[in-house]
Amino acid sequence: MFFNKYGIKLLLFGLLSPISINLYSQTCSFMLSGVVIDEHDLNPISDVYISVSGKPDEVFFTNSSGYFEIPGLCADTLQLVFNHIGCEQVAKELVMSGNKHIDVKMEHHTEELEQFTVVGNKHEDVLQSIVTLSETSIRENIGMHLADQLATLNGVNKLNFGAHVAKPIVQGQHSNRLVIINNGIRQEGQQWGQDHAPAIGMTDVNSISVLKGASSVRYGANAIGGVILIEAAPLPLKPGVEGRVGTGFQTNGRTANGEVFLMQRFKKLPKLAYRFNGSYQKGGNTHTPDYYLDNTGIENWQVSTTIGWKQEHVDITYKQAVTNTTLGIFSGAHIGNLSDLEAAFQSETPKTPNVFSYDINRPFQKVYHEINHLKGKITTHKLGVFSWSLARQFNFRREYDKIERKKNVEPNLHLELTTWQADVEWLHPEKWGVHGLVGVSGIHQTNTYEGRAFIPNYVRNNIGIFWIEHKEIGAWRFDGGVRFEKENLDVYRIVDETIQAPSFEFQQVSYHAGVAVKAGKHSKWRARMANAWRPPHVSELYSQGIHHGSAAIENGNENLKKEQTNGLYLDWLFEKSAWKIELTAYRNHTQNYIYLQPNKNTELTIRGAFPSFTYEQADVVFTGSDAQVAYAWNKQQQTSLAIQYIHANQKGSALGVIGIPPNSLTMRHQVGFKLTDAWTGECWGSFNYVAEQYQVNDEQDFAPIPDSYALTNLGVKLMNKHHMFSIGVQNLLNVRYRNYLNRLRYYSDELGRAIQLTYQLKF
Amino acid sequence: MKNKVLAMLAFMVVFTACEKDEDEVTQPVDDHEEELITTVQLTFVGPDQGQMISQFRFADPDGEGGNAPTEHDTIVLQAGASYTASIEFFNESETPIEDVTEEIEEEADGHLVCYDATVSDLTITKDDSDGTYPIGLATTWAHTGSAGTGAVTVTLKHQPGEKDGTCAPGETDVEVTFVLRYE
Repeated sequence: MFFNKYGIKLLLFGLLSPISINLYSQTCSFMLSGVVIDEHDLNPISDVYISVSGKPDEVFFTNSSGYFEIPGLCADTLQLVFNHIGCEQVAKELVMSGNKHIDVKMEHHTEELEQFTVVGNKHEDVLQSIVTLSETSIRENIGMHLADQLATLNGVNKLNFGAHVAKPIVQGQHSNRLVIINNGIRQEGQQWGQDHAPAIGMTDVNSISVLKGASSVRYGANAIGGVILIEAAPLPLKPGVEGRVGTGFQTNGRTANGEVFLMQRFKKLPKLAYRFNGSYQKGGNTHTPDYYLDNTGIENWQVSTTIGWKQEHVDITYKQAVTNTTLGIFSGAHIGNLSDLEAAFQSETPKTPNVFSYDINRPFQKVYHEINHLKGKITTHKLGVFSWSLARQFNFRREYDKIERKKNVEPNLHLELTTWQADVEWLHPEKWGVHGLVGVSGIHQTNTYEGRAFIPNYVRNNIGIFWIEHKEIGAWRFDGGVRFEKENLDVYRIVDETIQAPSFEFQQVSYHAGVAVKAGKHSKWRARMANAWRPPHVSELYSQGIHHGSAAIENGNENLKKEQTNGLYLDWLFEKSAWKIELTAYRNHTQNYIYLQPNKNTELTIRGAFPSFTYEQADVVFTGSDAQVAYAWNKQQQTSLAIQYIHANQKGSALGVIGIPPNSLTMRHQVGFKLTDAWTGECWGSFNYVAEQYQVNDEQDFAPIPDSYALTNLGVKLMNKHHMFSIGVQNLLNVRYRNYLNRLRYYSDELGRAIQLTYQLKF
Repeated sequence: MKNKVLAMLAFMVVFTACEKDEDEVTQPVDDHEEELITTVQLTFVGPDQGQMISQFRFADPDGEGGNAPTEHDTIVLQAGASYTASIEFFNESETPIEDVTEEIEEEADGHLVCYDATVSDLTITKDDSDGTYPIGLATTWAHTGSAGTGAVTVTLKHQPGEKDGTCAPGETDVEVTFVLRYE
């Protein structure tokens, strides 16, 4: 099993790499190359827009390693201008008398405003609201999973299933309505389930950006609520070894983490570089202000290796990443039928053992995710940039129920998902002031089950073709794009002991169009309309059976149609001296929004009566706003305020939509200080108020909607060139509360105070 | 250098998991959950010292969801009489039919059958034991009243490591309510 197709791929890698492409030769033949880095954290900045006086008709961009090349320059004095969204413009003058390499530092505003900064999309200049999580805050929260990290961003929430299972929500959309792009490929797991968190290792993650709003043109079906773009640390540009080790401990759950990150470009073979990283995490039972939550431990390890070959015009990388997670499911939530559920609601505290333990017993889940990804890029002078990517993902999900009989080792539910993905993209050279991207992508996915037939076997094939263009005229910027996409789904299921194989075909033309304009010196307006879609997932068409933890029977509906959203987005950005403001308003009209409709009668089974639900469709309108205001009192102190509002309602019905994040407000104050010349530090405090979700009736839920709550968090960090220490306190006042977005709110309170210590050594 | 690179490559393929065959996808196996119970069967011997045998069943052969239960008998017994009863659990979705009762007997210290009747003047006593607590597979139903109709709820609890003789702990494997008529 260890040597299969990958033998062939590695061979291909070896064959492709020595190819050198020289597509031009000119009399002016000097080459200027360089690296653009962030002045604060020294990270490379990609997609910096460079214009050169010697080449007035062309612009150049830095790649994901911050590297750029400007070939074909004459012996002359050159004026260079570097532009990057979210950075101060940098102008440079230099004399060319031979090939030259320069390093350029740019000041990134994101660094100053850390958590609340909004930068433009550094990928394709899409005129879309985007929030980014910086490397510093990812490292500071070592051991925190993706959704927990992202939930600190405005407009982003998380859907929990206990302390360790969380998935991101963007402008009220999650699961099958969000796309996660993990280093250029779609993360494909069993993302339909509420208790299925994305299996993504954080150790090599350098930044995470959240594109808000419909983004199907570039990212395909399911990008209804937005896209989460995860970027790994770029391979080093200079020969030598660099890396870091990090460790952390969190008191609530007594969770310990360790991680190693190492990368090297070889001195003797500078075209080759690698990156290796691994992490391990072990945690035990978590604690509410009053009691331990039985069986809520976690054990997680992840390993990833990347090798990259880089030469003039050609860039090839191969990455393998594996994560493996074992998660205990709170034993008080794994209940039987309706009468057990009612008994659980009526008791103030769960009837589970109130002790700490690192043991993970039944019920638990084990999720293994493996990514193998080969990608390449050819940068040409006249024909633009071609990139291609081929990836295979495995997602093995094993669920062990509380009850086992006979074979003790067998999981009760075992799903195996294999996804092949191929992409080719062409970033065409600028012509008549227009630049753009054309691409084709294909997905082939198979799913098989063993044990409980909650979802059937299926084969899914998807193909998409897109075209996006971008143009700047004076203070105005325009962009537009269109995508054609087709998806085929072949299902294989057993009904009355015979195999049935229904087939489905869905297709869609999605589009977007945007405009941005600078209004005076300090403010900018952005407007966008976009269409996104998704075909119904197999779980919505054919799921059948009891969903553990909710004591509900879910029935699929094979008559479901595709879901599609038309979104309107308006942003206002303002920046003047100490003030920075961004206001975002949106309206998403989703046709055929798929949701679970409660059936009138409970369903009688041998385990008693269960409420039952069927997937139905309705037209739903989401309106909302994300607002952020930051004020810098002086160079050291800054206060920011973020407000999030979402309203969702079904057209022609008084019923609200289930699972929409309640309105919230976050205030944060931070103070920077300098201890010595080498050591600097930062203290911060934040206050987070979450309102009651007033838009749903109590009848739409099993249990009453939780009350509003307010949490206080504090933190301090100290760092120099090599070391970083941080202490953070979550839920400082040990507030007792329940969170509407946590499925386990039916059974238990949220976590009490947690103190987190981290240390990181960079070398 | 070459060795370093080779070592690195070797390391990377170590994690490559298996690819599955397309056949596996198109030919799903009807692999019913091993814990499935489809049928509850109560066998009464009596009345009193008589040897009349009567059986009452609840059956949902395709398990939870899907089709509704196919059998859901009314328990009819003679008023003022005493019966000995035994309860059995089957998985009838398998061929041959699987007797789940045997597994319950094997793990007697982790199982309990509870009976909750709304009929007055009825005492149900458990006649078996796991050594410490009753199991509830064998019972005596002593009725001292007159004719009437009520209900009895039969619950099978799985209580591994937490059995205390009461019905509260554990997970509900079976919960069936029968109409119970004394005539």
